[in-house]
Amino acid sequence: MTEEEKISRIEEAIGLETGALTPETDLGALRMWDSVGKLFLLSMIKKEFGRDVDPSVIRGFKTVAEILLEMRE
Amino acid sequence: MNRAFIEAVSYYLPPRNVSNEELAREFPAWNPTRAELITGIKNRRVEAADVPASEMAWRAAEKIFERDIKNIKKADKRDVDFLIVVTQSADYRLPCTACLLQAKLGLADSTGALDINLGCSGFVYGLILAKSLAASGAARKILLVAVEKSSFMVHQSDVTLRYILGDAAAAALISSGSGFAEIGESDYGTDGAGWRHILIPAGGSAMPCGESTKAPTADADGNLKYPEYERMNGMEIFNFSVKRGPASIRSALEKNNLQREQVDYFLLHQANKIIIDAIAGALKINPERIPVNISEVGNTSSCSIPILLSDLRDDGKLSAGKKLVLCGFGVGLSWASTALTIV
Repeated sequence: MTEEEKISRIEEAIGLETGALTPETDLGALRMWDSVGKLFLLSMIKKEFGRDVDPSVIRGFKTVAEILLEMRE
Repeated sequence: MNRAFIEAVSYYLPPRNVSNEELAREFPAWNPTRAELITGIKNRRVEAADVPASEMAWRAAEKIFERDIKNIKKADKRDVDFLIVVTQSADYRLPCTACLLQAKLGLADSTGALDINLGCSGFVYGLILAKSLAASGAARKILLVAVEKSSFMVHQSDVTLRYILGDAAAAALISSGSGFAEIGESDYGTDGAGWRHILIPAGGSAMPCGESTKAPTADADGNLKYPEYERMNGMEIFNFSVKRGPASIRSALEKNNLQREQVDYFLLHQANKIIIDAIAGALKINPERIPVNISEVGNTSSCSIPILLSDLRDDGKLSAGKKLVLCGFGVGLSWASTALTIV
């Protein structure tokens, strides 16, 4: 999966339009980065990558680039 | 002697339906479409404020003893010698709701009665205990009633939990003699280290209610929650459910010498859509074998599994020989699974 595809999955998971995110996007500035968005992201990573991510890690994400690191294959 | 059967099952839903649209009118900033994608919930039932849990339990239990369409009594109250109530929304801190229900139902004073303080795993735990009582000869017929008035435990400003949870009651009569489903071997477990993840912090001896428990405090995600009302850490519950649920089901299959393919229906606690889908995916179960009712009644805690069971029976889907696996998981953190064989 390319980085572009991964970003697209993140956008889809947290309910954003395609192209809304870049690796540098500050998650704290996004209205959709709430407890629901975080839960969607957690379930997407579990489903797509089979990885259990600790919720404290998700809560600690500041940028999209940090999420991408957790989506390594 | 060491066998136990479910003889009858029934449930009660409050008449008042609350739709997503109604909640959205109350909370204009809330996005019901997004919430529905996670949970699959469109409607839930909410009991009237002046109806206590024991009344809801009574309404579900009375259906067990009604006459059927041929005017034949389905079951006789005089035969019940033990009553187990599963609830976390008891009428009072004491006495237990089972004592109130024993009197309300008019059960004999030789009836044993106790509550189980568990949520989503509670009905399966109740079946395990009822089977033990029946199989040991300690009791011949056990009435198991699950009731949850979640609307009483959730703060009116908490749209997330008001959206997820629905009120309901369900009842099952367990017998050592005969019934429509034989209860098999079980798996169960507890991870008490996760006790904080579904919690009402105030009101017990650890944090008595007082002035300090009236004000909201921030939860792990920064949302304001009132200490006297329920709170839930969604991500922790997701991880717990998709780890423990499949493992417990695998253990129950093994204990009952069953292969996944031999099971006709998996009755999973109706937590929310993404958890049900994740458990189905982990076990590679065809979704057709996982009945879902969360869309119309929400997460009804300990009642979700008996509601599914009752609907399957009423729909004529439980012919002799069918195999079911039941799995409940939630507050505690706690989980339990068992198998049923339709006879």
